[in-house]
Amino acid sequence: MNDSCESVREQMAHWVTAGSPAQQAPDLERHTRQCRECREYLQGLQEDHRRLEGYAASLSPVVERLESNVMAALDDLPPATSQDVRTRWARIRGRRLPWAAAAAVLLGLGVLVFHSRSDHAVAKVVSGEVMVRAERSSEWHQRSKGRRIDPGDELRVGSGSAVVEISDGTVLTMCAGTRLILTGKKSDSRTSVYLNSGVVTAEVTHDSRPDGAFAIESSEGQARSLGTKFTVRMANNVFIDRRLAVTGMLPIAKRIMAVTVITGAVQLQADGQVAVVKAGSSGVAVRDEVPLVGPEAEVLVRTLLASSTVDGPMKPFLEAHDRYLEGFFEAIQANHLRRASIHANRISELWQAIGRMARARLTGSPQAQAQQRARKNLARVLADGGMQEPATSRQIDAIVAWEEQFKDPGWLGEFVHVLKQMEEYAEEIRDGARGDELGLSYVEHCLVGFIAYCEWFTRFPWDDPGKEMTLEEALAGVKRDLEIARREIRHPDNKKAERCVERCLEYAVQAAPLAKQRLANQAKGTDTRIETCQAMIERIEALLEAFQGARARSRQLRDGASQRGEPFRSALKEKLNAERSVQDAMLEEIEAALNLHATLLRKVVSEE
Amino acid sequence: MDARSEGELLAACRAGDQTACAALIKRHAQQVLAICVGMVTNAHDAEDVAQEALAQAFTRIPALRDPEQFGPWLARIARNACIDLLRRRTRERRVLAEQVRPDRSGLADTTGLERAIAQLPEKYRLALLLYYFDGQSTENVAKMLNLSPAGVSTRLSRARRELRKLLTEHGVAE
Repeated sequence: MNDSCESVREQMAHWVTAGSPAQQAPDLERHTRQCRECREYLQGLQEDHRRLEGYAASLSPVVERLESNVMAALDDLPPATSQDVRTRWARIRGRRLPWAAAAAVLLGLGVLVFHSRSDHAVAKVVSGEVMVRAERSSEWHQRSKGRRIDPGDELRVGSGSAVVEISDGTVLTMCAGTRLILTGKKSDSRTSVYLNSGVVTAEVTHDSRPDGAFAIESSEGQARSLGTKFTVRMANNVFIDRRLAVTGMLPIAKRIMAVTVITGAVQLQADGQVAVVKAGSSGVAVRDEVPLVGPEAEVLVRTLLASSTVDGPMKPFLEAHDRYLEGFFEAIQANHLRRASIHANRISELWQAIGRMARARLTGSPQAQAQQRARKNLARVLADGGMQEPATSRQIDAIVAWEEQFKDPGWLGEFVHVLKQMEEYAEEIRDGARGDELGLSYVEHCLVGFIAYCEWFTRFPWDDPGKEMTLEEALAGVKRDLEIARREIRHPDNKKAERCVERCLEYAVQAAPLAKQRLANQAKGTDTRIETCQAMIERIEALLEAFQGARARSRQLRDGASQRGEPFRSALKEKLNAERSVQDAMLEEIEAALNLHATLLRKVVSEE
Repeated sequence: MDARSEGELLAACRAGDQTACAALIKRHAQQVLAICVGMVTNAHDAEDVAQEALAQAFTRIPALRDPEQFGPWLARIARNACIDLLRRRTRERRVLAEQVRPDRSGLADTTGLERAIAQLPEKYRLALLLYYFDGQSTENVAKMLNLSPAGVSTRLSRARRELRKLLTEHGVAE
């Protein structure tokens, strides 16, 4: 076979449905007349075409059976209302980020003050280290406290954070690695900054910009303040392509501008379209695409990396982790599954090593051989990621020292639990990335849970490990695990759901005495207050019962035999009904108890 | 065949019109089955999982925001149901010996063909099966897979060449 045969066969495969090659291209016909091999090849293709038609036709009775079975199954099910589904979906996918806490940490790190000079937007450094490059200059100069920054200057924060205030009173907090240009022009009364990379939090007061015209711009879009405090973050290679879940095609990682609004509102503009992002939610701008707001945006923002919002002994580890994760996304984008698998393997090893150390501490054997092995393993994983060995040892010591300061078993239990979950999700991601495109769909599923636990790192008491866990923190943990359990309980053989529900139970056990104690202190007041407290105690008890029920159900599901082999229709009905009436009802009962609990708690606190 | 447009059928189905639901199921059952056959590569399992996916989809119809996206949305649900099944199967395989497949009476004797299809890369397999199950229209396949018709044609021609190679290797072709 020569090159010409190869090209003819390509065309044959394209036109095989047309019957004879002469109908499509005389050249093909000429070739097949002369070349016996290609003629046979064409006959083979045509034969395959007929076989495939026959195969599709042979499944017609299956299609008919399928149609009638589905109709019969639907007849027996109560119709889901639009509200049911939307609420549930929003509950699963649209969890809010703990950005406010992260922003508060950043705001505490340093202050830069911009001073006004006529209508120029200028700045003056008060603290923190900012490198500045003048417009059309290639040299960077460090600006120390008291030095002014002019319009057109580019600002870069190397390490640590800096907070700046523009002449109009707008306060900007820049994280390490952030680069932006102060773009306010003399002729333009509007102030704006152009964000190249990194994370910046803007606090705009109504006083400073009565017209609400402050904006942060980027290559991907613009976020215009409507009198507010908001965070803008640029990120590359974000796993954005929603087609992944539909077709199993590889994702396209893109550069995005993610906006999270803490208070007030922001007008997000991209591709000539405008969307308003309200307090507590996020929006995403991607070039040439309509701004994305709502649950999809929340999910996207959640997949951004955690290290920039965590400061403490874990930071270097999270940085290494983020590097691997970024490498993982890049490899996926380049369709390089082997490289993706290597990165996923590193992530998995990292969490396994840290998790082992934490578990050794929990079981009271910090010097055990296992822990030594875990330390060594961790050092190796980190060294492979480009970290220096001596620095690594110090960092491991810092984590161990931090863990040892945990006074509250609740925090230690929480740390171990989160690490265990990270470890398992990382393992599943690693295994998924080893497979094919189908595996990648499962990777996407796991990433949501994985990122949910990633976020949790911002909530650990990094600055005060001796701190006791509050009732609110315990309840927040319950909510998190409920959401994960909701995602995972659909897989009866998945231990994650059971572990999450068990953890919820542990939390509730821990929360109950805390709540009772709080109530005992507060129940000395009026009759209404006592009544409220009594209702709360009852609710906590109901909550505990609901958890125990959910746990039993979860075990039952895990231990239950596979449904294969039973008549499918009854299995389907049972499964759908079970999902509605047992799992959902159970989880909804828990959630209702939690919601009421929170309402009552707020009432008690407000009466304090 | 119900003459109403897909958007009208969806609206009616949301409002509880069973005939509209039946018409939608009739329109899409074949596509869903094609996806399931393409994913789980076994007609018996595919039927089970397609049934599960369709039932799930029709109980979740109120969650669908854009009626234009019904096809891709349904495809996504079918894929997810298949992924669930494949995960269960992988786990079961760890503890159980491979189960004897049930008798698939009524189906054409296509063992060699099925085996070869199962060995195709997934992206080719899906395109090929959707094409033959769904009236041989590249436009329909393109819509379901979020691809361009030209992209579908390319996948189809590669799938055919790959299939030819596999069938020849298996000795089924002659």
